[in-house]
Amino acid sequence: MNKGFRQSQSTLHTWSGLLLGWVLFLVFLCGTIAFWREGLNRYMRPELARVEQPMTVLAGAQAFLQTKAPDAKSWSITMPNTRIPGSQVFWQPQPKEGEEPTRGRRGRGDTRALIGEDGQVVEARETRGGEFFYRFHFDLYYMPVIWARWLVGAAAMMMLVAILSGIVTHKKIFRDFFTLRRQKGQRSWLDGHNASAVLALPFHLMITYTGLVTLMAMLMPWAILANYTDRDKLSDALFPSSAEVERAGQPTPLVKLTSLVLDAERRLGVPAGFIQVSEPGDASARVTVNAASSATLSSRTASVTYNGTNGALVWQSPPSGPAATTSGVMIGLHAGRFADITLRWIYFLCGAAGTLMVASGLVLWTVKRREKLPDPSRPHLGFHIVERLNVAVIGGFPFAIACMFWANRLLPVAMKDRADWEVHTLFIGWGLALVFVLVRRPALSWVALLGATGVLLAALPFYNLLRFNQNLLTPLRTGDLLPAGVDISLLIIAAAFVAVARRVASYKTGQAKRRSRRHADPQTGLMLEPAE
Amino acid sequence: MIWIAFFCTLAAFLFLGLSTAQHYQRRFGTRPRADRQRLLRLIAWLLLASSLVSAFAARGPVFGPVIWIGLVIFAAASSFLFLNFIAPSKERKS
Repeated sequence: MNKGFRQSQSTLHTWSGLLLGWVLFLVFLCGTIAFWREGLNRYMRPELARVEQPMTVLAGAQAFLQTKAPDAKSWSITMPNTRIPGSQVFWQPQPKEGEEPTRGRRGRGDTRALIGEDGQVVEARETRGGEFFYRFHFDLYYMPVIWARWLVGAAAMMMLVAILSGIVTHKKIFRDFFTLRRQKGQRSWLDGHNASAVLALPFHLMITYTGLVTLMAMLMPWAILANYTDRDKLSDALFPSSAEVERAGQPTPLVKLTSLVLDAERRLGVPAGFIQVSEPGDASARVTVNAASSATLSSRTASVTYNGTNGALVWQSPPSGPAATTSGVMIGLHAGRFADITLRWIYFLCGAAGTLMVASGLVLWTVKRREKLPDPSRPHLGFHIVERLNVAVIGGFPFAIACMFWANRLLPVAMKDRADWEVHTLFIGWGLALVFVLVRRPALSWVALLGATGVLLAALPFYNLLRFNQNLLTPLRTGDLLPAGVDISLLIIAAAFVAVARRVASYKTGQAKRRSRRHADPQTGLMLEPAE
Repeated sequence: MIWIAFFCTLAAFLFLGLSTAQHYQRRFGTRPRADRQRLLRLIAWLLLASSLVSAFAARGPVFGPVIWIGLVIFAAASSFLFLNFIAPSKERKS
């Protein structure tokens, strides 16, 4: 009975891990990169300097908006800090008669601008920066968002099933916690897969479960449907805000936002993150200041609203209820926005371990089955598909990301739809990788793709050094370590890719049967490589 | 305070790792006696408990547990890499 149960869990683990495993790999990889979302936003816009005086930027943003969109319906201003490069401002024009107000999350190019560290508009290259990885990890790309979320939600559920059934299947993982048998073929693979899973198990469970929580209203709408008939009421309960105002039609100057933000920060007790002004320049103006999400564990931040003409406090968000707090904390844990640099690295390394866990699990499927193939030189179709998909996704997608980083540097700054073309480059690179994988043997395409990724990533810091004439010591002098830190991390990651590619290549000369098993072996080494 | 928590978790996982027969033999040349194993585990758990206390003291009841779990993961991974990939000095010489 016991054996039968574990056997069934093992089957469940294998297939729940495999079926959407490739989607999971993409989600895990991009989600991991997205922990550096703000850092990448800046890294991919090398024109931007670090913000030392957030209030200068805010005053500049207000001055800019007052000349650019004095009678807009609303303004939105993100507060910069040393981590967030500049202030992104959006404005929404007054809706025309009988026209629905436009509500685009991305905002159109003509209603947004970026204010730099000196309070002036910066003409930075158009890029989606780290935002791309953040959105891609739950919205994917080139497909309706709602389908993507269902797909990612299904993959996350399978992940949860795979983790839980994996704990049952490999019940020895806790006893063999510190065990790694090296150079032992399938055994080493399994140890590597287990190590990447069990060492960061609290993280994997947390990130998968809370990831599902972020999609809960879509995946399990019944609780909401049963309690709320009106979507507006739900929205009020979840995201309380002050009442909307009618435009009075009397031009009245807006108070200084900097003084309001200082007051709000004192009241909230934490730095401000986001400012919204409705009906600016009108007697009915309202200014809402939201707390920065980096300051609290819960992602549902508190806010205060002021009268925009005299600066009087009008409204303060009530403390949120237990259910809203629970989900807010879970989403906060998932996104890790509160994390300082140390904890952020731990998040990143755990995410990397999770990515390796998915990757090694996918490769393990082929490793296990290759031995049992009747004729290893002519595998059956299913084996063929899994093997090639593994190379195309695990080898191909990092290569595509490297292509995107290069596109960010090389595409002309004045190019039309530049930000979109950066993303297109990623998918063109991935498409090329896929074609390559289809026409060449996996043993060769593994080496080629991993090696190419390593070379592309390693060359990027040197290009930056030459192109932007950076002095190697400047970051140390100014204390602005971010761009250099990304460059150094890229070099380390590139070294890992090259090392893995070399190990794969060196096994190619071995026996044909062993080769395929080993070629993936260094994959687990990816995490371990720097420690060797 | 957070550094105390960090070193406690690191030491705890090194002790836990060394309490396994395989790693004990590799480092000390003999198989561990049962009472030695128990002692190592006991020290490890005490260290883990004190690291939790110091994490609470350092970061408070909201962020304390979060950073403690992060430290535990980091310490577990570091000791795993150390025990498996850094050979004892004897092995290195031979």
